[in-house]
Amino acid sequence: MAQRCVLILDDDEDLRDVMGTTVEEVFGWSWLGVSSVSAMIDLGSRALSSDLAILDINLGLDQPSGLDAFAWLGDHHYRGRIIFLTGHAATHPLVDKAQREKLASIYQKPLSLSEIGRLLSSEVR
Amino acid sequence: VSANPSEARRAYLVTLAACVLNVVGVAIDLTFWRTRMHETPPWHVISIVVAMVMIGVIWKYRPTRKQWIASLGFVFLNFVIEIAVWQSSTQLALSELDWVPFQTEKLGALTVAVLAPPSWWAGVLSIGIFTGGAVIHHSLFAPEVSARMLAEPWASLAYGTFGLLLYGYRLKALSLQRKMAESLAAKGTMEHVSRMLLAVRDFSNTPLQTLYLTTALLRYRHRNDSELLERMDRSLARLRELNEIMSRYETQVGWKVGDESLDAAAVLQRGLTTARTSSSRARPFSRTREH
Repeated sequence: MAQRCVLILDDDEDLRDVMGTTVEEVFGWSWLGVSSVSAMIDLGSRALSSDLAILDINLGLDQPSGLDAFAWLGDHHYRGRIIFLTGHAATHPLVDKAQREKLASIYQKPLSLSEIGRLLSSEVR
Repeated sequence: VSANPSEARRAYLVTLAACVLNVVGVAIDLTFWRTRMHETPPWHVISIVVAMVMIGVIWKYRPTRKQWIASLGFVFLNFVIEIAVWQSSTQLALSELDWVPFQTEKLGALTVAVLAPPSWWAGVLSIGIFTGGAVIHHSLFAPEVSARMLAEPWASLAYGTFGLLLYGYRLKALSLQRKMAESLAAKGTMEHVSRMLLAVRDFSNTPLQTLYLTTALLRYRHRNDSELLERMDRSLARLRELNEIMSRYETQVGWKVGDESLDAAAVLQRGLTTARTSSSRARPFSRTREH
């Protein structure tokens, strides 16, 4: 069975790296880390071939958001599962939009290791 | 010092307005007396002088925001007006002129209802001065004079009653207005605090997630050093608990257009600026309350 891959989109480098290292060391997944939507687009087919995309919603002041990343993935027939991981409240306009449009499951930071484990497994969809 | 500075400000403003109205109104009446009756009623002149002095006094005490001074000044002014009106009413009642009895007192009672400071005693006393003045004055006239005033004292009493009702209604409306303003201010403060807490939470969530995963990774790599890591886990659990408590404030926050693009640091900075501005605006007010 081929190694599964997770795409991590988060503007915080430390979080991106530690999350990638965790999923790699603890759960045996490979990972791709990007800090912005444009960086994700630059990855092209590599990003699209991942099995799971964990997208931060707010990627910084006046930057395209995780919702834009979601739209790009959808437009390019992404086959993997997409989840949003956000540090913002459920009432934040971007998070609220993602909820209202039922784009994907939304998770609040911080997640424990076991929660990330469940997220990576097929139990959580 | 008034418990409510806006009411104190209103009390000073209406007393100043009453003084100005008195100067203008009595000056017009004085012109009538001088041109038609060819005399100068002394109490009219005294009333104008008192009103002008009071403008100075009220202006001087205005910064103290002591509402009782403005309210007492309002009552005193009406008392002086009533004396002036009493003198002229006596002359007109005893003359053969076609005189509508106690017209000034009736107008006074209604004007007080509309204008009086928001101290109930000042309004009630002032309406009492005009209405009571008319009733007492009527009772002191000789029977043949008072017999000419068919509607009195009932007309004056009716005006007084209407004046009291109108004043009561106005005080109630002012009280409602004050409660609404307080409620809006409390809501604004609550929303501000909630927004700040939420920004703190937004700001701390990502580093908290990093710490969580770093600890988990360390535990995975160094399974024997569990004591140190357990301590860290407990601290992180407490931080997560705090995070959950702060998340309960999110329902209090109303988002505005453009807020979604702001990061937590910008919200906190803006909140601090807003708090400083409000604080500097409120400062003169706090200072006067300490007098």
